[in-house]
Amino acid sequence: MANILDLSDIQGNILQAYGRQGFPAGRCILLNVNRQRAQQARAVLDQWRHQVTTAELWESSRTRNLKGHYSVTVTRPDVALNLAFTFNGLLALGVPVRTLRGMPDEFQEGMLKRAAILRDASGDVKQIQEAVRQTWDPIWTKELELDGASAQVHVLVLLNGNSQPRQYGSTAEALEAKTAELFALCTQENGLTVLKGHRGAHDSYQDISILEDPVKEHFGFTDGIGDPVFEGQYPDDTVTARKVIGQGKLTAQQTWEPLATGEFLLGYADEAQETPGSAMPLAFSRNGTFMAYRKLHQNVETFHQYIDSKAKTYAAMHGVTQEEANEILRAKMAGRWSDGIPLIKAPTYPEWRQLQARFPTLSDSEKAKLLTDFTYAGDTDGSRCPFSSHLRRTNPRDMLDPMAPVSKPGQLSQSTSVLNNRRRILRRGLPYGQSGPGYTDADEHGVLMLVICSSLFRQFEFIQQQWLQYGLDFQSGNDTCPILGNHDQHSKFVIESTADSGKPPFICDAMPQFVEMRGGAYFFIPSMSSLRLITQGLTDPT
Amino acid sequence: MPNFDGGHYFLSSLIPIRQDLTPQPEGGSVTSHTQAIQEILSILPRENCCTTDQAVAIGNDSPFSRNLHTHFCRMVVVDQVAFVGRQHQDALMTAIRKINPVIPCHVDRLPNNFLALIVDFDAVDGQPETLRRYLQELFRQMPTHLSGIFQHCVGFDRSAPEQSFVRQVMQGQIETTMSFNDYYWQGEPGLWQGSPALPNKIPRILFPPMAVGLVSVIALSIWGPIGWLRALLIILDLGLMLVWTVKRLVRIGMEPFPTAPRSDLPSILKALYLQRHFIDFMIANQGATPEQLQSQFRQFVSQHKPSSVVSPTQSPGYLPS
Repeated sequence: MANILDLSDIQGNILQAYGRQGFPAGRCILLNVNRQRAQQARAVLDQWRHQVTTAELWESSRTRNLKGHYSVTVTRPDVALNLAFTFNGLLALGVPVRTLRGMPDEFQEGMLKRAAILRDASGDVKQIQEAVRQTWDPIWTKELELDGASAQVHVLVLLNGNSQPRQYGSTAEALEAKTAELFALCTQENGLTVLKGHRGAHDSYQDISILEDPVKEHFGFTDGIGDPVFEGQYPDDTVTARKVIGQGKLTAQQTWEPLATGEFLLGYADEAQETPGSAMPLAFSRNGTFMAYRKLHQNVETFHQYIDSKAKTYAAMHGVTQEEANEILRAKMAGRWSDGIPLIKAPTYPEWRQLQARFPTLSDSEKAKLLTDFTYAGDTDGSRCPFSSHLRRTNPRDMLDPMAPVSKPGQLSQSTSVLNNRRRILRRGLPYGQSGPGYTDADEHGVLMLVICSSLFRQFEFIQQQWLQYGLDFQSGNDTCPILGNHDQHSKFVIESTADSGKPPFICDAMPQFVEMRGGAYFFIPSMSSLRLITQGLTDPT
Repeated sequence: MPNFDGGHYFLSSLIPIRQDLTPQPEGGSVTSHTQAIQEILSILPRENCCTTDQAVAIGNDSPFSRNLHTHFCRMVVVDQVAFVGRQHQDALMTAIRKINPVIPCHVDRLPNNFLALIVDFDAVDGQPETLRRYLQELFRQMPTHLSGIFQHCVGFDRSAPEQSFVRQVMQGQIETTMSFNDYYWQGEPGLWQGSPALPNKIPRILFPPMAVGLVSVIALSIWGPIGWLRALLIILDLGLMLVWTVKRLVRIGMEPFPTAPRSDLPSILKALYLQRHFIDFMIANQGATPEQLQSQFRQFVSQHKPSSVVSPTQSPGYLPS
């Protein structure tokens, strides 16, 4: 099954995250295209097209193992460059309407119009716009004004800097040089404008970078452990066989298989065994995909204060130390302990500490299995990992399968992940800003979520609306995700206790807002063929 | 009796809409009665907008919430049936039967537009009198709204609006063959109230036909005519017994399930009310000593009165988070 995909046609960062490939920092630049000068704008983008980083494998120990498959090697760029477009961007660049009408509704509408569905804001159109104006970065809200056409977000240029650039002294220098090179071409004559209004140190781009502790996000959790594995994603079957455990789809035989390619790239059969309709011609869509760009601010100070205050009650009720209670509450909210060990593997604090001590002695594959190889069939009462925890909500694995419960201890479940296979997303985001002692909620820090999937509606929006902002599938009524959810109405988070503990469930109530939306949009990431059609103005839908 | 099951009446009624013209309900030009009904339905206050305490304070104004038996009520205009395209035909059969595929298929049309009224309400039985009483009660609670809608349907009499509303709905009633009840017995549902479940009933259902069958077969074997006529009579006899058995089984299948405990609307509203307040009680008393918990729970019981269905309770249609 290896190499079923034309890697030279697929943009980088889709199959594998740059963050894990030695690109620790990046910049997101947003551009507007002047429709009157679409031809000139296309010419500039066509120049950049030749610099776009593809999914081709760079020379590394991994590629060398492929025994002669790669006689010509691809060198790692100092700065990886990728391009993505909003619906308005494609329209401004002159892509024919007959092609664009084949684009999905949610992409045509854009993230801002979907704010109510995503629960980024609520109320009528006016109230939503007002809320968005107050909370989103100005770069996203200027287009709401009467003369906003020139402020519309059209193109995303994503730069990711190599940790060891060849030509430059540092990653930052390499990024700076590339940014200057691109900005020089964004002129009035060329019909391209660099949009301003990102909050933070630089208003003409959004900085993203891996934090000092390379695996942590701002709340202190180890991030980016699990990611879907699909057919064709890895260059050889042995890698796939290793990676697929706990990250692909679960079969009734309790083995893991890669998900269908069509869940993450357009033009391939998906988990429904069909090739979904897409914008025509097929070359425009195939090997392309969609991306939700979401800048999520994290109220780090509030989060820690809240956990501290609830941990006092928990510690008193359960007779544990404040520090232990603190760790338990954080783990129960996330579904993993702060170092990433899943609650399913170590449901109690002593078990976690034991496993944590043993962790360094494990081999790489044992470590990977510990972190990802688990199901929820043995935890049908949520006493190990709460139903409402972030991990269970975002990737319920087999828990939605009615066959998940096992009637006798020791009996093997036949549960599968079928109800979850169409709701998986690739996460390609990185944190931004600084947090820690001396920083407050008002400072700039959070995570730039880059969610990649072939249907924003079916995958990203469904997870956001039904699983993060609602709780029915998780026997949690109207409760939302304890970390990412809206906590505006009667918020609470139930931590189930084991039946034999004799303790009542612990309820975290009156949760403040831990994560706030700061703006974003839906982008189409074209394949290299599609990018050629767009930048050369050659898209022919007939 | 699919119209009535589990203590709920599932009403489905199709009431023909008048085909002449009428002035617009909000004034202005002349329009069809179908358009007029759609206009009224579109501005009918809806309960589901009340999702917050604030919204309830502003106005819990759906007229249907005045009725404490209605679980849900839906009104839609059925104005056309969808044509699903030509029936699939086998090319060979078409050729053999000499069917001309150029001739268009028949496209079905409704003779009239209809107002569909679909209601799920608490009822003691499925008798017409029970339905009549419910409709009368509903009309008395929202006469203006219902008259405003049903005057556009065939058979409305302005001088006797209540009677004509009841008559229109009952005349238009069609059998509900697929009811949707949220509140069946949990665990083992007694097929008849106070009696054991269906598997235990099987011997009692089968016994009479089998006994009669056995006796008649023996009687025919001893005293019946001789030869092939006897064999024929025995086969006929066994066939009759089989039909009788199936009929007995089907009759039992038609019997409604009993009302599940506390599945009437007031009990459900009270349950939702208690659930909501009990969660708050749990949160407020986390970590309390047994003594504190006992005294707080006593206060909770006296304040929220779990044994009183009527009060305090949740308003119908209120959907808090």
